[in-house]
Amino acid sequence: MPSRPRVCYGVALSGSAAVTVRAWRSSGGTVRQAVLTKGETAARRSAGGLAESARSGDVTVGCLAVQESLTLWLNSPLVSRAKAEKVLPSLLDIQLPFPVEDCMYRFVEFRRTPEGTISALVCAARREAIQACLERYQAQGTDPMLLDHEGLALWTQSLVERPPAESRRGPAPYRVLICLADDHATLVIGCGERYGNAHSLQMPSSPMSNDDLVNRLQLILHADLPAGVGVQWLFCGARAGEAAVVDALYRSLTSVWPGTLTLIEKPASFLARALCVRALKRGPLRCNLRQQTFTHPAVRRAADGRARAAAVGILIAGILLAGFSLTSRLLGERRFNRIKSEIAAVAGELAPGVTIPYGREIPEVQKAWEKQVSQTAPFIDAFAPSLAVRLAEVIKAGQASDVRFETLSLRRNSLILTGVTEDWDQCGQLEQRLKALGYTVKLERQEAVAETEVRFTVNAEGGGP
Amino acid sequence: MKPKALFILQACALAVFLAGVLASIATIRQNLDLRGKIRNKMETLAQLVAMKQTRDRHQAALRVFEGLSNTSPVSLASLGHATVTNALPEIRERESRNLTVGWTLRQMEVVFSEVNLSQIPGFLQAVEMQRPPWRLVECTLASSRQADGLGRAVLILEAAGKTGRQTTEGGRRTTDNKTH
Repeated sequence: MPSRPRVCYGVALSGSAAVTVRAWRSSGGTVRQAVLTKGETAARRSAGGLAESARSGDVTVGCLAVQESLTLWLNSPLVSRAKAEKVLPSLLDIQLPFPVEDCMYRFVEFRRTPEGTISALVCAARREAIQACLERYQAQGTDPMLLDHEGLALWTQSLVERPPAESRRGPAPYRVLICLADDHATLVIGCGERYGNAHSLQMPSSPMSNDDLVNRLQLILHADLPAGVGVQWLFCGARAGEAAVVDALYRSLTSVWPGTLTLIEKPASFLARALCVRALKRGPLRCNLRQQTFTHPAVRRAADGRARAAAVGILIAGILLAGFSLTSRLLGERRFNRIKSEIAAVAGELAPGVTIPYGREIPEVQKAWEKQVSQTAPFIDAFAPSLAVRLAEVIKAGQASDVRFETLSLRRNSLILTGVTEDWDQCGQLEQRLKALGYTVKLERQEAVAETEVRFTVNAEGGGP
Repeated sequence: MKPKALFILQACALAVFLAGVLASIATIRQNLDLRGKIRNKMETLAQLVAMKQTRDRHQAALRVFEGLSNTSPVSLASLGHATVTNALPEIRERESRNLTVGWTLRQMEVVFSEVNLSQIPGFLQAVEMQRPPWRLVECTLASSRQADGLGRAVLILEAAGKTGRQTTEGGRRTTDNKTH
């Protein structure tokens, strides 16, 4: 069974008859439904029934009748939900008239009370009742994979098909759903969207006995509803189409609890639709009482398959992690070794015949290179810019500045000039021109005393070709 | 699948996954360490490659010199005669030292006394155009007080060549002998 099936068959038993609805989830998530005719149901049974469905990934859902099970709100004194979940089975055991070990139960909703403690809704049924229910389904030629609860299914589907009107003032309105099947009536009581309780009554065999049904209904409702409160009355089930029955019940009940009457459309298939919608879509109060020893083989196989797939996934992830780690480590070491061998090769080429200890490549190669460089430097120097060019540039700068050099001493990266000029500012022009050549210039000028000319000395550094 | 087989599969999967996680952690730690080592080695390699490029440039320059048809520098005296008029240079060898594979570096001092200083650039251009070339290392010019344009020029030039000259120990020798 897939974790989220796309096609579902909801089968609701009503007396000796079964109502089957086929529902499927479209790509947009919308659930579409169709009631199977008797012929279609028979054809499905003959085609393999559930076994066929299980193979195809479809799901068949049944439900346990309210009369065979119970729903109960348990109030724990604990604030922590985790702790409450541990003590709730013991509280359930106290409430049950039979040992909790003899029944299957599911906690379907947790709420926090105004006092802050945890309140839980539990759905429980005796193992014998579940076994009997499954046998009834098998007698109808079907074996449901999931076993839902009738009361919960009716309640949630009523919220889906008839959402409660939003009440901004006062408390949420009460809602009572009465499902009139051929052989029994199911009463589901809630307030707003909160499920309250569900009850089951035998349907009278003759219409003349409706008063007895009304009396029993009122008896139950007096226990759950305050007198005089407004109630939204909903009717569904195979006999909801009998107007006389519905009218009689509605008139009698509204005399105590006034309220509107709502007849569910297609009331006969309401429960089957509810089962389908709950199986196909996520939502509140979801319940499957077919657990542990009652688990359907297809469900167990699917769970095993998921567990196996998860284990294989983890195994593959582990293998990939280990593989990537090993590969990464090998690639890193390979790269490191390649760089080391490149270093050794280059160092060996630069310092042939020298034994180079590991990690001492640079000092040893530098030592060897310093020996070689003095023998080859003059060859590379021959291609450096000529000092004669710089001499020509300095002479040109002097001519442009209209100064006369007396001595000129030029070396690579240094220049010393002495000379005379007619004007104090012409030395400044020379200084600027030498700076433009890249020199750092130190200019000294001597005031003309006996002569008319200004003597100057230039010490310049840098700027060498 | 039987529950026992599924349990074994899950246990194996968990063990392999944990082994993978542990291997990944160990690898990450080792790679962090290795990354530092690789970075250091890359820096070392980059320095060595830079030195090799310098060495290659030197070798290329040497190959150019080796490819010259004439490996002896031209006589400075004859060049002086040819390019500078009315002045005979005093030429003396300052220094010579052995270079690689039979080459010798000679440094010469050329002194022109009372020369027309405007002819010095022409002389320098002529010596630097030779193969193998002479290179100006240092130059000192002093103008004469007696006449404009005249002066004394002291030029230090050097050239590499295969002259077959013998040098003293250490590859260095200084002589004061005039060569013209």
